[in-house]
Amino acid sequence: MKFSIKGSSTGETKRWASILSYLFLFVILVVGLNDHFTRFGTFFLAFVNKLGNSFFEDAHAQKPTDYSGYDIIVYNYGIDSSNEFDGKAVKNIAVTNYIQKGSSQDLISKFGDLVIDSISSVSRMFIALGLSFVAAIVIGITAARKSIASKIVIPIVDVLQSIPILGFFPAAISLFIVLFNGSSVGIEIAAIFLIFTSMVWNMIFSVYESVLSIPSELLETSNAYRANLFLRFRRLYIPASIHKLVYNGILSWASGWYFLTAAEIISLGSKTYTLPGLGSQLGISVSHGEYIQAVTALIMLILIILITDFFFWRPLESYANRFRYDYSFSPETIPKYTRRHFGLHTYRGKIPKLLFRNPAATSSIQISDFFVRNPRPLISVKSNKVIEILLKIGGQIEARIFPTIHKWFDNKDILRVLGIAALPVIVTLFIFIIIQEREQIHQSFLSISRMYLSLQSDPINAKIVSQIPIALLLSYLRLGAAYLLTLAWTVPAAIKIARDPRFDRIMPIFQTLAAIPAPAFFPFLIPVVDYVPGGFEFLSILLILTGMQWYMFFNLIGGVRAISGDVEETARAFRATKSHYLKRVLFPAIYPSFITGSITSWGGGWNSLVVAEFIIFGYKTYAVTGIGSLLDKAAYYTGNTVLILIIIGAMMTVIVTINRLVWRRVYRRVINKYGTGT
Amino acid sequence: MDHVPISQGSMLASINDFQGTPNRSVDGSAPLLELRNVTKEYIDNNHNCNKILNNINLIINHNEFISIVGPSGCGKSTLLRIIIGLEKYTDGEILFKGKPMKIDGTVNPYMTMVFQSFGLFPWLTVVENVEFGLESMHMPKIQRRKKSLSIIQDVGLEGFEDAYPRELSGGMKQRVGIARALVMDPEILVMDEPFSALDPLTAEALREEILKVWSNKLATPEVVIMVTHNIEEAVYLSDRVVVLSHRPGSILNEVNIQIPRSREKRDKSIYEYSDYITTMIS
Repeated sequence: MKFSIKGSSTGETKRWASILSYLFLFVILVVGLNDHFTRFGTFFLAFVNKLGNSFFEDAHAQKPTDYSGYDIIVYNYGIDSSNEFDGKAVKNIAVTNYIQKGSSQDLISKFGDLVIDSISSVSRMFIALGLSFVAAIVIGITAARKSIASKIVIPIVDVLQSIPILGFFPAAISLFIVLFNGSSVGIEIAAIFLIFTSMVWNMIFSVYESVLSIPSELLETSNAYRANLFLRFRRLYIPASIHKLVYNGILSWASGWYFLTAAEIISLGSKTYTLPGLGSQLGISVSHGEYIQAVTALIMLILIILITDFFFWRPLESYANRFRYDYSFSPETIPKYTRRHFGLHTYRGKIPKLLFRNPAATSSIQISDFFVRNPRPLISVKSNKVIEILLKIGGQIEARIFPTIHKWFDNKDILRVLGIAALPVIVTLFIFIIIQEREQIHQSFLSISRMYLSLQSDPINAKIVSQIPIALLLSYLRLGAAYLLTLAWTVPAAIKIARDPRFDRIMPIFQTLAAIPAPAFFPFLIPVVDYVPGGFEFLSILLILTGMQWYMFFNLIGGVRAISGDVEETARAFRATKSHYLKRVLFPAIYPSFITGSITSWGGGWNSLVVAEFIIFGYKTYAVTGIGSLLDKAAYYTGNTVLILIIIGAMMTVIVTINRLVWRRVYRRVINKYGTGT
Repeated sequence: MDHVPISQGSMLASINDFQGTPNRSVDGSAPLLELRNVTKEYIDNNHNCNKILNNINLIINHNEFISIVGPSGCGKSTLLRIIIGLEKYTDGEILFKGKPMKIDGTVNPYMTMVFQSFGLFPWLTVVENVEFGLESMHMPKIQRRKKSLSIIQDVGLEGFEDAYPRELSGGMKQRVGIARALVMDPEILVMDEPFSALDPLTAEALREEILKVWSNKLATPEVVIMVTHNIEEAVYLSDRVVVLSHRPGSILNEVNIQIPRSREKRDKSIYEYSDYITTMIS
C-alpha cells in the first residue's frame, strides 16, 4: 500500500497537510457548537459511563439511613454526593461500596475479599507500570533526540517528580472522576493515574540518560546505513534503554506499592473515593486500629511482591542483561566474586515437570536455584511449548507487519502529514471535550473561585497558609536527620554486601522491604510512641527514612558493583591495604552513585512527607508541624484545591531551588572530575 | 644455562631448543623464580572441569628477560597472574628465591605489574596514581612524593604530574603505568601485553625504555616477564621465549634467543626466530 501525493514537492505536501487539518478543525468546531450535534457527543460519553457502570452494577450499595453504631459509612459514587454525617470526630473514611464490612463476616468471604483486593491492586499496578513504560519510552527518547524537547520536558518532569502523590489528587479528581461523571470507571482510572505518577518520572529520566549515553559509534552507524525512525527505535533506542528501564522499573514498582494506600483512598475534603484493594484495606484497618486485618493485608502484600518479583522481574532482569554494553562471559575476565558464585550455585534453569516438559527438570532442584540471579533466563526457552508457540506467533507478526510499518516510516510524505496534522487534531479533540463538558468546567471554575475566596474568610485556611514557612523549615530539618541516618547504615552495608555472592539471595528481601507501604509500619510504631524519646517526631523521622533509604541503598549497591574488574585487579596488584583501598579506590569510585543516590533519596523523602508527618491510627490523629502534614490537612480537612496548590507551589519552590543550587552543581563537578574510562 | 656462541649466519641450524631446564644458573645460585608442575583448573556452570594451565614447569634466573607467547586463549595472562600472585592455582608449587610461595591470593611484594589497558584510577592524578603502591606500603608522604616525581621525570612525563588520566594519550597512560610499577623497586617486572593498545611509534619508544631500564645492572628490576602477541617484539626484547600451547596451556617449547645485545631492530635473525616460533604455534 503506497501513499504519496502524486507529483508533489515537499512544500506542496506540507501545504496540503495544513489545509486538510485546519479544515477538519473547522468542521468539528461547527459541529460541536451546534446543539443538535452535541447530543451525539453526550450520547457517546453516556454510553461509556453506562458501560463502566454496568460492570459494577451490583456494587452500588444502599445508603443506610441510621448512622449510629456504624463506624463506616457507605455512599454512592457521584460528584455531587457528600458525606451527610457531620459533627463526628471520627475521620470520615468511606468504605468501599463493594463490601459492607462487619464482624459478622465469616472467614471464607473475608479471604475472598482479600483475594479480590489483591487482584484489583495488582491489576492497577501492572496497568500503571505498562503506561509508565510506554510514557517513559516515548517521552524519554523524544527528549533525548530533540534538544528543544529536552529543554521543555526535562525541567517539567523534574518539577513533577517532586510533587507528592497528594498533589495530584485535584488533577485526578477533576480530570478523570468528573469526566466520567463519577462512575466507577473514572475512579479506577484516577487511581491508576495516581499510581502512574508515582512510577513514571524516574523511568523517563532513565530512558533519557540511556539514549543520551549511546556511544557515538552506534549513532554514526545508524546514520551511515540510513536507518529510518522505526528501525532506530527497534534496534537502537529501545535496546539502549532496556537495561536502565528494567532497573528503574523495579524501583518504581516498589514506589508504587509504597504509595498504594494513598492512591486507593482518594480523599479531598468531604469527598472520599475508595477502591477495593490491598492499599485501601491496609489504610482503613490501620486507621481503625485493627491489627489483624492490617497484618493480613500486609502479609498478602508481601506475598504478592515476592511472587511478582520471582515471575516477572527476574526473567525481565536476565533478559535485560543482554543489553549491557560490556558483558563478557569468559571466565578469566569475570571478577573474582562472580566466579566463586558460578562455582557454588549450579543453576540450570530447572523447573518442575508440572510446568515444563523438559524431562531433566525434576532432577535435583535446589532451593538455592530459586534464589540465584543468573545470566540465564529463569524460563528455559527451548523447553516450553507455550513459549515456543508465543515466540512463533511473535515471529510471524514481526515478519508480516513490521516490514510494512518500516516502509511507512520510509515514506517521508506520510510522516510529514502526520506530524503537521497532529497538532490541529489534538487541539480539536481538546476543544471538543471542553465544549462537551462546559457545564462541568463552569462548575469547577466556580468552585475554585469559591475556594479562593474562602482562603481569606475561613480561619482554618488562613492558619494553614501562615504555617507554610515554618513547616517547610521543620520538614527540611527532618529530612536532613533522616538523610544522615540513611548514610549511617547504607554506606557500610552497601560496601560490605554488594559483592558478596550471597547477596543475590537476599536481594528480594530488600526489594520487598522497599515496597512495603508506609501505613504498614503504623501498627508497629504507634503503640510505642509514648515510650520513645522524641515521641512522634522521632517516629516521623523513621517513617521518612523508609521512603529515603532504599534509593540510596540501591544506588550505592549499583555503584559498588560497577567498579570494573580492572580497577579491582590493579588495586590488588599493588597490595593496597583495606583502609588505603577504601580511601583511594572505593569511595572515589562510588562517589557519582552516592550523589545520584542522595538526589533521589531527597526526592523520595519529600514525597514521603505526606505519609510520614500526618497519620491516622486507631481513630487518633498524629501530626507534626511540617509541609507534609500541612498538605494532608489541606486535603482531608478542607478539600480546598487552591490551598493545596499553594502549598505544593511553596514545596516546589524549595525543592527546585535546592536542586539547582546544590545537587546540580555537585553532580556537574563530579562528572567533570571523574569522566569515563581510564 | 650454557651459552654456545653462534655466528649469526648459521642460526637456523643451531638453535638451542631444550625441553628440560637446568636447575642452576651459570653462577650457581638458585633461580629467582621456579614453577613446578603448576596446574590451574576451574569448574564451570555445567559441573565440567576445565583445565586452563597444565603442568607448567618454568625456571627464571637472575637478570633474564622472558617473553611468554602463544595462541589466543591459551592462558598466558592467567599464567602471568599466577606468577605474580593475583590468581590462585590448583596444583603444583611456585618457589621464589628458593622458598615456596603461599597460595593465598596475596601478591608477591617483589613483583609489580604493567597492564594492557593501563589500569589507572580515573579519579587520581598522575602522581597520585604513581605513588599508589608506595601509599599502600605506608611510606610517608614527603618521601613517596619525592620518589614519584623523580620517576615521572624519568619516564618523560614531566609537567603532567597533576593531570588526570582522562587528559592523557595512550602512550602517556602506559608511561604512568610503567612509572607506577617501577617506583616500587621490584625485582621482577611483570607485563601483560603492555604495548598492544598503543600505536606502533609509541610502542617502539616504550620498548626501548623498558630495555634501558632492564639493562641497567645497578637498578631494579633485574627480571622482566612479558606476555605478548607480537612475536617480533618478543624476540627483539627477550633472552628466552616461552611458547605455550593451545588450551589447556602447557609449555610447547622454550627458545633461547641468542642474538647478542644490543640488538638491531631489523636484524635478519630476529625474523628467522619469529618465523620459527610462529610455525611452532600454529
